[in-house]
Amino acid sequence: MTKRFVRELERLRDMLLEMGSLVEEQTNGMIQALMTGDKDLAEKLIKRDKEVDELEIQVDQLCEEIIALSQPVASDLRLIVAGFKMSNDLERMGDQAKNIGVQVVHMERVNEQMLKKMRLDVMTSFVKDMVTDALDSFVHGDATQAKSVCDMDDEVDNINLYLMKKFGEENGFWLTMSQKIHLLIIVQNLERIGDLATNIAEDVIFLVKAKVIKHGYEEFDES
Amino acid sequence: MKNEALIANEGFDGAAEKMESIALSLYYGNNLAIQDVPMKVYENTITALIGPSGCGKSTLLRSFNRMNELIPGVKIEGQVLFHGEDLYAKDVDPVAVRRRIGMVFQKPNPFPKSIYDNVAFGPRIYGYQGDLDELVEDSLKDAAIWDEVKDKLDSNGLELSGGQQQRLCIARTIAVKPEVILMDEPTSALDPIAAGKIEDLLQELKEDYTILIVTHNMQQAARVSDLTAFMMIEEERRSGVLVEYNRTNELFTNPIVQSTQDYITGRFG
Repeated sequence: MTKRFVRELERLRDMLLEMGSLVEEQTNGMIQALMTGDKDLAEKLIKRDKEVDELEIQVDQLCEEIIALSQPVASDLRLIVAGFKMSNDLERMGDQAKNIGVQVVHMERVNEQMLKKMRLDVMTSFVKDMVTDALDSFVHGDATQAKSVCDMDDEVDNINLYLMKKFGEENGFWLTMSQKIHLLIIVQNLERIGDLATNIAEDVIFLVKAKVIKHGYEEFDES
Repeated sequence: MKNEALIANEGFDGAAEKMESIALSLYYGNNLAIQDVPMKVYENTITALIGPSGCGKSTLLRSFNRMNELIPGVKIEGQVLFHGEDLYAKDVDPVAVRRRIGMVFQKPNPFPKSIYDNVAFGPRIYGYQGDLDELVEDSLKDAAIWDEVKDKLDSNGLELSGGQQQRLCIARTIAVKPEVILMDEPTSALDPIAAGKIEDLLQELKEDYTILIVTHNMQQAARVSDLTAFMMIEEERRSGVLVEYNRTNELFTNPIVQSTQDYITGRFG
């Protein structure tokens, strides 16, 4: 294994981590903006989405270069394959966070007490944990932690379904139609961030265990 | 004790077993070169042997047609079975073995004779009674070189390019209708285009032959073979052992043994 190849793999890991941290900041910041109705914060974070987009292109180029020049196999190849997918998923997560920010900017403020009544505090807390844990599992190569991220996704899906039903009710949470539409879009985007964190966790399991657990294709094995 | 990493010894897609080494050890004088190698080779399958220099790949390959006996001081323990019969039994003629289990070497080594005579050499020695012209043509066709040499069969084989010489040697090997072809780094002396032609040829040859190939080029092993055997030097006795033997796609994507992983990813060797 050449020193150059080792350096390139380290660079790929570093870039994925940089991208992950940025997306984590974006997601957490947008959630804070939502809960506190801070439109300035939302606007500021929307502008930062470009940084994630640029990193995605850099990661993809690096992965392509490593394949062409070093022909990686086994765990090295899995890192490249996971790298391609993770950069795509992280970029999408950045977009979903941006979408949340756009709604916060345009939405008539809903007070935090009402958001909590809607269980949005629970949903956002799960989503934040999923994003953080998915990235941590990548840093530590921890497949068990990654699996727990996949399990959390069910909770997020449940809250999403509950809110969809509630928004459909005429007097659901005593919100205006406009607020309901904005919140519906926000909830959908939160749910997607959860899905994408799950994708990343599945990539980590693929990377560490060489197992494909998505779509129930293979069983997760603790050992 | 069953070795869990030698998965290919349990069978391969229902293919018939062609050869098998059982606890095969080989000494050069007092030096143990390979140690207790258990390995099955399957019919119409390409099996690649990979591993760092000095791990005993070529020694193992040469044990499969008794080529090592040509080296003074060689001692062999264990068995090599061919169709269930021990190749090293006292009544087995090594020349007959080498006819049924042919070999192609690293450096193309045509005889300083015409292209025709190179291919006809073996069949003549064995007293071939059929149509020799037809046999030469068929062998050259099977070795994917006929179109390039059909108009100059009387030319000296040494006048061909390296890649053509190697395919001529393959034609010479298959002219005596072996069942197994052993190849010891057959493309390492060739440029990538010529090596690519040999790789394509291997895929055609496996329809009729069983192929065992030693290669230092891991990408080549990954491209051409159905099964891959990884050998390395065992520290205690400084001799070659078979570490992992599995489907090529499995071995190169998800090896079982850490040392296989380290070798194929270039972390040692």
